[in-house]
Order: sequence, then C-alpha cells, then structure tokens
Amino acid sequence: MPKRINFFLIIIGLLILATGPAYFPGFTIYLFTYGMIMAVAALALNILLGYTGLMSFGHGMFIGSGGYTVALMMKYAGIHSFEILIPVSILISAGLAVLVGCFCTRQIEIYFSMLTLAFGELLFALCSKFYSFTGGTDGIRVKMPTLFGYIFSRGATDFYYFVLALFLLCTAAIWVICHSPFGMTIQAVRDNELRVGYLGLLVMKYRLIAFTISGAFTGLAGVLAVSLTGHAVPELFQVFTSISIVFMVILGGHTSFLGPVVGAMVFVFLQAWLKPLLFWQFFFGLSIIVLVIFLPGGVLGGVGIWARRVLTRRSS
Amino acid sequence: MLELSINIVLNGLFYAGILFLMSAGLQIIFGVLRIVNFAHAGFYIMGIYFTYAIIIALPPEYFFLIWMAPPISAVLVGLLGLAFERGLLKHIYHRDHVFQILVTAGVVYIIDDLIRFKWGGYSIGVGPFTSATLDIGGVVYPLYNLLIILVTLAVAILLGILFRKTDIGRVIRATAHDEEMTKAMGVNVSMVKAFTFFFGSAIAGLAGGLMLPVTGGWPGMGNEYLILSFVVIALAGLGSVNGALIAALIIGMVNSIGIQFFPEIELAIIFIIMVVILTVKPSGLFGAVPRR
Amino acid sequence: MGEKGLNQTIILKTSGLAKHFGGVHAVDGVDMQIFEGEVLSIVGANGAGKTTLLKLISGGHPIDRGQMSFEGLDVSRLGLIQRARMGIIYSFQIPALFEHLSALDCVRITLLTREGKTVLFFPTIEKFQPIRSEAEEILEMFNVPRSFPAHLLPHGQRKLLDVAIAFALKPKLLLLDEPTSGVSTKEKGQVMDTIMPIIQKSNTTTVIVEHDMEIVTRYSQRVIVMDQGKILAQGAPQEILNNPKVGEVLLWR
Repeated sequence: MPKRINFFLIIIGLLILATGPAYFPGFTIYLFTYGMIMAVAALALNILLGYTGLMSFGHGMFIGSGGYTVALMMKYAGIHSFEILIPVSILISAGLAVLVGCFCTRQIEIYFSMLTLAFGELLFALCSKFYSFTGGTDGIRVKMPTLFGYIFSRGATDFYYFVLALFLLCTAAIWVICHSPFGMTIQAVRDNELRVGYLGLLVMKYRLIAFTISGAFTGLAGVLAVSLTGHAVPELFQVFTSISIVFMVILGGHTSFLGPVVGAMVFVFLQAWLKPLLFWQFFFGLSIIVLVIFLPGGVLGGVGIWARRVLTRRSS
Repeated sequence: MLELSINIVLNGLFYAGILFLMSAGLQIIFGVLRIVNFAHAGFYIMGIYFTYAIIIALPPEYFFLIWMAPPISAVLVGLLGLAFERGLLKHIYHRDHVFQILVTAGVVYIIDDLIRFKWGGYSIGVGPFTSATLDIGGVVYPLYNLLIILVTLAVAILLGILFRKTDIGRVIRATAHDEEMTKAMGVNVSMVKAFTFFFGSAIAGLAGGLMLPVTGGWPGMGNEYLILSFVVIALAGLGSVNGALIAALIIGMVNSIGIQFFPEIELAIIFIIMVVILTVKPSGLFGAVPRR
Repeated sequence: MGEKGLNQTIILKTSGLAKHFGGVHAVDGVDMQIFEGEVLSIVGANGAGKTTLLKLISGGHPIDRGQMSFEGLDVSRLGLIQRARMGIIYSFQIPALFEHLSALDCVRITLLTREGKTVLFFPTIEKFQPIRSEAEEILEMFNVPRSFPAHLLPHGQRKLLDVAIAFALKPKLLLLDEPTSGVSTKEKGQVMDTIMPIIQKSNTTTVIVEHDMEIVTRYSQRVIVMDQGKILAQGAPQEILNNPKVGEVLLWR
C-alpha cells in the first residue's frame, strides 16, 4: 500500500473515530465501539497469523477468559473497577495462553490449528457444564465497570472514548512489537522455520511468546466486549467467535498492519446488517470462501493494488 | 459386575466404531491431499440427513429397504464431496495450508444453513431399524449397535485389503507418499485426488447414515463431531488409518469407562488422553508427517 | 587461491562417523579432521555421502555411530540448534531464505540473532543503526540487492544470500552445501569469485561440498574424496587429480 495513501487513510480514519459521536446515531456509535474492541482482537490475532504464520481457530477462548474473569470477579469478589479488572484479565488470559500454547506450539502448523480449535471447544464445554459456578449456558450478567470511580453509561459516548483510547494504545503497542527485533524474528519463523533453527534459535519459544502476547491482548478485548454487551456467555469460547476473528483479519488483509482493523470494522457492521437474516451462516461461509479464493489480500490488499495501479497510471 | 464390564466393553466398541468411521475418511483424504478437511463433519451430517430423506420417502411396503438407505446416502455424500473437491478445492491446492483449512471451515457453515433451509431448525430422527436385541453374557444389547460394530470391522478390513492388495489402493498409497514421483510415473494424480475425496466423504456419509437412528440429527451438531474427529486423528497421527483405529479404540473405551463413573467430564477425559499422548509423541501414535 | 599458512589446529574431528537410512549406509565409518582456517572440499559421485556427511557435521542428521568433537568438546549428541550456537553454520543447497523479508532484513535478523537481541520488543528495528550498517556492508560484499523480498531474487542471488546469511553469523566453521548447484556454468565462477575472497579475507574455516573439480582445484587447499560412505582419498587438489582411483569413481577419464 503506497505510503501516501496509507497516511491519508489513517488520518481520515482517526478523524472519523474522534468526531463520530457528534453526528452518528447511538447504535452506530455502539457498533464503532464494538468494532474497535474487535479490532484489538483482530490485531492480536494477526500477530500470530500475519507475522508468525500460525492460524489459531481458538482465539475465542481468550475473549472468553477476559470476559469471564470480569464476570466472575464481579460476581464472587465484588470487584467492579476497570483498573483492577483489566490487568487481572490480561494476566489470566496470558496464563491461559502459556498453558495452551506450551502444548499447541510444539506441534506442526496443521495440528496447531486443530488443537487451538479443540481447546476452545473444551473450554466452551467446561464453561457450559459448570453452571453452578459459571452460570452455564445462561452466562453471567455484567454491569459496566467503573474507571477510578467514574461511572460509564453503557454504549454511550464516554465509554466510546474510553475504548477509543485503549484501542489507540493497543494499536500502538502492537505496532511497536511487530516492528521490533522480536517482530522480525517471528516473521523469520513464519517464512522459514528450518533456517531459524540453523541460526541457533528455538522456534517454539518464539511461537509461544507470540501466542501469549496475542492471547493477552485478546483477553483485553474480551473484557471490553463483555462490558459493552453486559453479558458473558459460553459462546464466546466457541469456534464461531474464533473463526469470526480470523475472518476479520483475512477480510481486512493479513499482510498489512492495519488490515485487521479495517476487517474488524467492516465485519461488525456487516454482521449487524446480516444477522437478522434467516440464513446468514450461508452468506458467512460463502464470503469466507469467496474471500480466500478471490481476494487473498483482503480489503486493504485489494485497495493497495488498485491504488498502486491508479497512481502509476497517473504518473505515466 | 460382569454385566457392567460387558456393557462398558460393548459401548466402548460401539463408540470406537463410529469414531473410526468418522475419522477414517479424514485420514485418507489428508494422506493424499494434505488437507485437514474441516468440512468432513459436514459430510457426516449430510449422511444423517440424506439417510433421513431416503427413509421418509420410502413407501411402507418397501420398508425393508431402509437398510439400503445408509449406503445410498454414502454414495450421495461421496458425490457431494467430489463436487466440492473438483469445484472448489482443486483451485486452491497451491495456497497456504491454513487457507485451505479456512475454506473447508466455511463450507461447514454453508452446509449447516442448507440443512436448516431444507429440513428446518428442529431435530429429526427415526426409530431404530430393528428393535431386536441380543443377550450377551446376561446383558441385553441392541442388535443394531452390534451391527454397527460389525460394519466398522468390515470397513476396516476392507480398507486394509483395498490399500494393500488392489491396484487402486496402491496408487492411492503411492500418491500419498510422494505425489511428484507418482505423477512422474504417469498416474493421473488429479483423478486420484478426486476419487480419494469421494471415497473419504462417502465413508463419513455412511457413518452418519448408520448413526441416524441412534442420535438423530439437528443443525449445529457438527461442532461436537468435528472436535471428536480432530482428537482422533491428532492422536492417531495425521494420515494413518491404522492409527485412527487404535485411537478410536482408546478413546471409545476410555470414554465408555469414564461415563460410568464421571459422566460430567467425558470430554475432558478424552482431552487429557490426547494431551498426554501428544506431549510424549507430538506427531501422534502412528504419525510421521512428511514435509511437503 | 593464494598462499595461506595452514594453521595446524584441528577445529573438528570425527572418528568412526556413521549414518544409515534403512539399509543404506550413507556414511560408513569416517575419520576426518578439519584444520582451522582451511578451505576443505568434499567431493564424490552422487550418493557417495558428501551431503550426509556435511549434515552430520551441522547436526541436520543425528549421528548413528561414532564420535565428533568440535574445538575439543564432544558434540556427537548435540542437536543442530546447539551446534549453530557453537559456531557451526550450515548454508543450504536449496536456499533457505526468509521469503517475504527483504534481503536486508534477512541479514538483519541474522545479525540480531548473533547479537542475542531477538527477544527485544522495543525499540523498533530501524533504531539499530550498527546492525543496519553491517547488514548493508555484507550485502554489498556478496553483491545482493538489499530491498527486494527474497522470493523475488534470481537463483544466483538467492544462493549468494544464503551464504551471506550463514556468513553474517561469523561462523567458526562454515559449511557450504553445493554453493553453485543450479547455477549456470557461466555464473558458477562469478558466484565462487564473490564468495571465496570474502571467506579468505576473514579466515573462515570452510567446508564445501562440490561436484565441479575445477572450482575445487581453484579454491580449496585440501580435498576429501568420498565413495560409498567412506573416505577414498584426501590431500591437496593436485594429488587428488592425479590419483587414478579417484578418477575411476568420479568418472572423468
């Protein structure tokens, strides 16, 4: 994606996000909020997918771990403040990632995908079964947490700006990580794990670290998601959540850094539009197939190619 | 005590049988195409529904023909798989594996909604093909379940014969082992892949058809079976049909024992077995995935 | 290939080294030494065991029988990762590059590995100026353009980049697996003319597996001829060329 266009689009995007609440209706703001939350999850997944070359079909488990940490801490420990809930959820999600990751990253890539899916479903099953503790399939209702005493009104402008701030923070953090020495190392692992071994590095170590970082950020997304929707449900752990995140990344383009953000926004709005349809799963599955076959670079990939073509045509 | 043991063993064999039938096709497909077909569970479900459709279409005088329903639906599912492979998969063989998996995952959603579209969102079921039972050591066990166990055994033996003694079986094994080499020897590898997909999907369809009277069917049932078949093939080692048999037996037996004593955590037990074995041998019991 | 006083220090020594695949004894009892600073070539017909021997040294294949010591330490049981960390660096016959990274980044990540900086999450790569400079230098020496992603480079440059990556690690023992394979006859000389001066200037102990006797004669100080998994002969290139037994197995009568 040509640098000029990139910069231009980012500025426009930021302007829209910053001033949105002034002219968009409440529901649109709700969708933007949700979109930014999912963008964090998508960026986190792309650390694993785009940069490390691993496709996890189980990232829903981190949305779930983040969300349920909030729900359970509220219900059993009476903790209602973001300043405690967020760090704790991130830690727990990271811990879960280490646990699951230790096992999954040992395996070859195909197994990795299968096993992450399996673990996600296992957690879904466990969550549904222990209803006395987790509320089972009904889930747990969650009140909006406070921030240093400040009380948010759910889905309204103040929460929107809180999420915006966190979103910008996370995006910056993930950007730094991806462009750091560690970021280049995981790309090397993605491109040729054999060579990485011959350089003297332990491939699994880097995959595990990437998985943990990815899980931690996704856990944060889970905290915010559950705070926004007000309801922690076992479905968060399920494969549909996980595949949705993968779809967002592919939709926006996994080869560019901001692709996942675009994909998440588009997906959230699309889903809101299509969910009421009776056979939305059909369109979901179909769009996955169409996307993978015809637009492998995703939206940003396609726009990038188009932009480059337009620019070179203009200059010739 | 004896009765309990017999019950556990029979149930274990029964469960193992279905797991094997579900996973054998996956293994064969993986061996040749190197794809983990997420849609395989979808084909299993189609087997259930096709069988259902055939049965309810049968006029009462021909009810004895219901035994034909599973095999017929197996062929239909096989054709479905063939269409999928030729129409879709063939075009993305050159792509990264994870994208191939993603495409097969997308198909599951399509199949699920197609089922909802044709048969509605409610569950379907039929009565057992036969209510006959057999007395085994004091345990009264449904004949139908025993038949399923026998069918599984027959399929396992037939597969063994197919792969070792027949020409087409050898060709499939050769392709699975080294595609380039086999192509260089003049074999139409593309046809082999198509046939393999047909065959593997048909086995899944057969499994579904046989299980219809036992579990019935409902949209969204794919999840559980997807996970189970994954656990089986991960444990077995990708591509190994023998491994699938052993893995199915292990999981079937442990599950059967586990249900008697800890019904709540049956899934967890299966997981624990898988985790333990894969930690010790990451490529699975019989697995040795050659680099592509 | 200039005059170079051979340092008689033995850097690698094997005794009774053996490796078999199924019934085939690819390497069947090899006793050899590698002297520090030398350029040693291993030649032989296809299947003679050259590449297997090289991989046994690099750790790519585990040793079935026999012993290997490097700088005095027994490395027989060590895996390829540990051997790489000790300075035994392998360069691939079929280039193993980081395909989506630019050539510059391929070398940069190698340098970061050498400097032990791979688990740093900040600052961004661009801030590491000395690494960038060194990477640019190395690419210039090897004549590889720096900004194209590796998968777009022509074959000859991919081979050079593969060697450049190995070289960037400042290996104590550099193993080149057929550095000119797949390269047109015309270019073979160019490739070696690029690589060898760099190796000689840095006094890197190098083992080259090669088929082309002309290249072997021109660039190496010592040659080991392998046949059916065993060492048939070894010595200076001229001796080898004059050895009738060698001529037989290498089929250049």
